[in-house]
Amino acid sequence: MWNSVASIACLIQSATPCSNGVVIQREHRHTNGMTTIGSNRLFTALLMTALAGIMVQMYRSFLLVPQFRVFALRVVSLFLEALPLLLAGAVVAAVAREILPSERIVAFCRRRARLGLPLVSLAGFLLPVDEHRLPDLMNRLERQGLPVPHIAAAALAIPLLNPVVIVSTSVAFPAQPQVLLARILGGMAVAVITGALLAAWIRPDASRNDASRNDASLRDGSSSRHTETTPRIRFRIDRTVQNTLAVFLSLVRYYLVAAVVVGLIQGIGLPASLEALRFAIVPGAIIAIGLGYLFSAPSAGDAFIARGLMTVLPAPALTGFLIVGPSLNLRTAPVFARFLRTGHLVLLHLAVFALALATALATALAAAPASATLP
Amino acid sequence: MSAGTKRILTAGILTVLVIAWWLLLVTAGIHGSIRGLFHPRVYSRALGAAVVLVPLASWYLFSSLSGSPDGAAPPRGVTPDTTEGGKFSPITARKLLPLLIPLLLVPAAIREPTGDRSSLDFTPGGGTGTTTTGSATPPESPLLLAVERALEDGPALEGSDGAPEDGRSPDSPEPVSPAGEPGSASSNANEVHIAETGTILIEDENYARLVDLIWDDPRRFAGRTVEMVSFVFRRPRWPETFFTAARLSIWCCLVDAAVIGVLVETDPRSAPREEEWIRVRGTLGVLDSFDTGTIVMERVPVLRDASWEVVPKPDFEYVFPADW
Repeated sequence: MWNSVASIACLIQSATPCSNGVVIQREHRHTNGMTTIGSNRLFTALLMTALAGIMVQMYRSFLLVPQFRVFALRVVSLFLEALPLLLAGAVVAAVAREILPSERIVAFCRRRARLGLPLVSLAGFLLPVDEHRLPDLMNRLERQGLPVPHIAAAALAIPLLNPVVIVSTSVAFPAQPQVLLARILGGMAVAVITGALLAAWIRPDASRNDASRNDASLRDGSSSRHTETTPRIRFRIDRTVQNTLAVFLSLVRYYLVAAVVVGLIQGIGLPASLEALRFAIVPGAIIAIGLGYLFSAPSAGDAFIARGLMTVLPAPALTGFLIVGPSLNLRTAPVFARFLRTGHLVLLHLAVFALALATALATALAAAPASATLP
Repeated sequence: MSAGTKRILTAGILTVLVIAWWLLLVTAGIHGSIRGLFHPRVYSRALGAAVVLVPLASWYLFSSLSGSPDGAAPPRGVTPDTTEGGKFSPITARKLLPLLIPLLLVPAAIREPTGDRSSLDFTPGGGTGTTTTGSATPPESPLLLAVERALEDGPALEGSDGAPEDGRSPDSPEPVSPAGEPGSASSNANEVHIAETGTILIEDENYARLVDLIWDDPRRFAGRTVEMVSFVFRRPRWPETFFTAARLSIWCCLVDAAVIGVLVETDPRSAPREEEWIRVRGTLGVLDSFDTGTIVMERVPVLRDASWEVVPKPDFEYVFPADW
């Protein structure tokens, strides 16, 4: 393919020497008093056209490959199924972002910190936050003096326990309410127990910042509220629409990566030697937890990804995926690392993985089928 | 190129992509390419989402044309969005690429929708996910009530006789609804046809749910004659005397399709060929256990004394779990 592109280039730039027909030197030379800038542009345009033509031809060839068609169907299926939920997640997050500025969320968590970790871990139900806003929220919570364990609990729970996630999980597993129940209860347990472990591990003075800075931050927050006298509706609609689209595009990007990987996994299938994995809860759950951590799929649609993995992993094991995926993953781990020391970060990972595994095992025990037994 | 022009271009591309998505879904739906690939509800929800995206993208284009810059500070009186210093979340052309990928995959996805059955395994029940085989009290459902009502009114069945030539019951049975009034049910999925001979006709509309009911409590249906159009499904490790009269049940999409149906016990010398479409008729019995090679199922419904005829593949070969 590249040789043909280079040949086209050589034909176009006949005056330009081509070594091996592949390397093309780009020079500005004078010909009859005119520069070759114009011909270079023409060359670039033709090269791009040739490349586009080759891509189209390759795409048309791919359309004839049955395996590619099945793969495409898998990815499109996963995408179409999650599309409404991804959009709903983006709309809810953007509207919440507009009507619930960060100051209010910070104030909510700060005021209720004394009431304990369980209440903080339920913040996502009242204050849906898109996952990209979470790092900023965590930084502000830390600056304003919320104890680190409470921040960790909130950060683990908010992406996992919110209305959009509940709806998407129930849509993805309509006949398996135990999956939704395990996700909610397991998610709460992960947030609260991990927070409690961190609270026991971290010295209180180490988790607090300078009180004067907190006061200054609060004053900043309150001063901005005082300016809210004559809101401009048009500006706010513009901002909400743009935030919705931005969040939606971001969710789609991460979701598609996970969907493509799941499409490939489904296509490749399991070798005969690993067929037993479909029924092995513990290894299955460990793999599911690892995939959840790596995929970093957006919580609004990750239930559909999990269901796509049901062909290779047992359903109860996927609760591990559903718990770890949104709360602790490759995207959020660096955020936790910003305000946790290495030891605390390791503890956080171990606690979340262990609790997710325990939830998967509990789900398996609760859903043990009466009619099917392993060979 | 100025930032404003870039923003307008990006907004324009986004709007075009979203409209293209919407048009593609509508066109594929009208053309019928979507049918059989996705459950109708998945398709309609996706179409709804695409419809919502169109005005959002149009508004973004409109606001871009009217000059609202990305980095605009909030006007006096508007609370700044502290996440990004009060600015908008920027949308760049690079961020639009994800929308392009599924758009490119759709033409491949909707071409010749056929499921690859080689990797599928047999699923107990009707694929509705509500099978409670082994439970003492299977759930009551309108369809079950309709079946029982019809069977109470009709003759008791032992064995099979009088198989219809074309399978569409020659006894011209009226559909029986849960209330027991022929043809009065609002949904086909809750109707059942019982031939005058007492044969339960399992049809496309209620296939998944009837099969589910049979799996729920095979003993309840033991001795009854059933008839269905199915394809022959068999796994290499199965005993030669068994095959499944099966259909592909689409829960969400074709890629999630599950093989559902009822086992048929037969003489291997006269068994139909795999993948062949047949109209099969037989008496329901109960098998103590059956090893699929991956799981051992207990109390499995099985068709005995079965007779069949080869029929053409139906226009629409898939069935949907009706309760979803």
